[in-house]
Amino acid sequence: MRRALFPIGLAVSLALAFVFLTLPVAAVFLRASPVELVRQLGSELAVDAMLVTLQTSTIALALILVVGTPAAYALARWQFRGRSVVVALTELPLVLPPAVAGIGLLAALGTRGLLGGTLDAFGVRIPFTQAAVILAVTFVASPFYLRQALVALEALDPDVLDAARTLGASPARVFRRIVLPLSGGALGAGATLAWARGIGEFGATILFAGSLQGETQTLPLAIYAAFDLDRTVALALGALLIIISLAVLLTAKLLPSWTRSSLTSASSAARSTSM
Amino acid sequence: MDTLEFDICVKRRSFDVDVAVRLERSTLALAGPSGAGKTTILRAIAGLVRPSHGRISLGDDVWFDASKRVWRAPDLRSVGLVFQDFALFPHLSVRKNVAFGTKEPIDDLLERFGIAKLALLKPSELSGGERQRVALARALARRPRALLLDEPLASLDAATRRTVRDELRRLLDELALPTLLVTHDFEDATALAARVGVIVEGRLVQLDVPASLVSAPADPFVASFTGGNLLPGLARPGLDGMTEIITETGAKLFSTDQAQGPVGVVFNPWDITVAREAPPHPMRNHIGGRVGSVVRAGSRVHVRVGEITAELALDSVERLGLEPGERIVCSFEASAARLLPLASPDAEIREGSASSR
Repeated sequence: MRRALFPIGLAVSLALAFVFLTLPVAAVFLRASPVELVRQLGSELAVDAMLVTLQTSTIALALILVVGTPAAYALARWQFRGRSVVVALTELPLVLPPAVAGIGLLAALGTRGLLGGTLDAFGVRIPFTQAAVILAVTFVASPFYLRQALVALEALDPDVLDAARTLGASPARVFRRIVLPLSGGALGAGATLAWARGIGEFGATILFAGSLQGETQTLPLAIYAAFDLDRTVALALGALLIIISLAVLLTAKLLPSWTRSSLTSASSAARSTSM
Repeated sequence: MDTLEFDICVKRRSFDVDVAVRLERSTLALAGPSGAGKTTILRAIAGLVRPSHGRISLGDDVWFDASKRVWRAPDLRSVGLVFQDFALFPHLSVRKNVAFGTKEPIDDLLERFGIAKLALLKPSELSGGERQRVALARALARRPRALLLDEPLASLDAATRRTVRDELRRLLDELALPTLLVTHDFEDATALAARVGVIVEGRLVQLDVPASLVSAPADPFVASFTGGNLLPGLARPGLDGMTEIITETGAKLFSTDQAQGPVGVVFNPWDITVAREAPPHPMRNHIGGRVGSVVRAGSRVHVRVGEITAELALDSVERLGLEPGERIVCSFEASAARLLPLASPDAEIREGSASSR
């Protein structure tokens, strides 16, 4: 009798966890009819938010890829004093409350911030512009990509990269012809995760960029704005973000395993058979 | 013709790799225990490791000269390096692997290495021997002026190994490039290289033709590496100008070599005779032990007796009817026992740590 209690306890915990984690997601779709949800996505508030989110998250992702990939490669290839500190600090935004990120960005780049005067001299004002959204999103999302990229790049066989060098390839060509193709899947998965974190970004954005419709109001900010005006619009935007999140989750899970299978077959190359 | 010359020192955690070699169009094998720094030497020549000082040159090209601050990047050195695990590009086909380093057509090369049929396969679909041929073809596609091979046969199974070794030997003869190959196998070294350099703890302890390494090893490691027997012991002058050695296992041996203190007694497997009982001959060496393995190699038989390997004629083994586990006595002349001074770092470390306590 007692022996049966433990597996029952496990099953109940699992059921509780599953219901608790999926109920809010399901509720978004159950509160309003699908037709109503789709109709509300056509509202001006929703369309503006979608456009702002698409623009800012795409530019942010481009920044993350263009700067983050070489940066992660440098971290993966170079051994230097304080390397672990650098790695830890680049991961800080993962655990940093977004509100702190927002106030930090204001303190650094705001008109009265650390670099505010310098930027002002060049006639650049960042806070409460779309540039501010991009920077906030980049700040909170980049560690998701950097971490994944670092793991993938560290896993590359250094002999394979060295072999390319002895075959006459410059470091840049090794990066293009060997490093990127071999780690592409994992980098793609990291990029997907970073992008997903970026489109969901709220706290840093509202403090640093505000919530101006059609300018800095992204999807999560629009949900917050619609919450008081029209609950159905908020639900419709929520449903949209849920669908995007599910797609992201699936992509991030499938992408690395897709490349991993091609890598595993390569490492099984260690076997030596006589023919 | 190109001469590969290097005199380099590479700092490593436990010891410095400090080696100087001059190599014309012939093959030199670098042999030695694992971790001795053999691969480091190849990597330094290829430009993948930067020596702290010294000089590397091929013909008139200076690749590295610490005193003149010359450093040529690996991709600008005309050298082919074949890695121990081949390091093929896993995402590229055989054809693309071989073509990676060259713009010239590679069809002849694929044909010559017998890998034309495999051109479209990925490295993961190849056998060990095939992968080795791809790695060689890839390194040679650039027409390098020097060739470096890191344990070219180590990752192959015994059956493939012999065939590949013969192929490799013919290839190296044909290429006539300055070739440096790393191996831990004396047989492979003898089969592939004109000269063998033995590296122990980053230093070249002996560089000679294989036969001289066997007949006159300069270092205990060289002796054991070439297949000779090596028993460590303490030497002191004995009767009739002979040297008397008490081995670590307590056996008393005699040698015509002069030495005192810690030595390695080195003797060849083929200088040993075996019998069931020690023959009554005062100036011979006798070591008793149980028969371990008995391995036949052609008309000769390798018999393991305790720590010793004896190489005997097949008929004498048959006459004795040796069986594993039996007690027998190995005998050899005092003149066949060579003495090598043995630095015994173990003893020093033991004493050092004891006194520091």
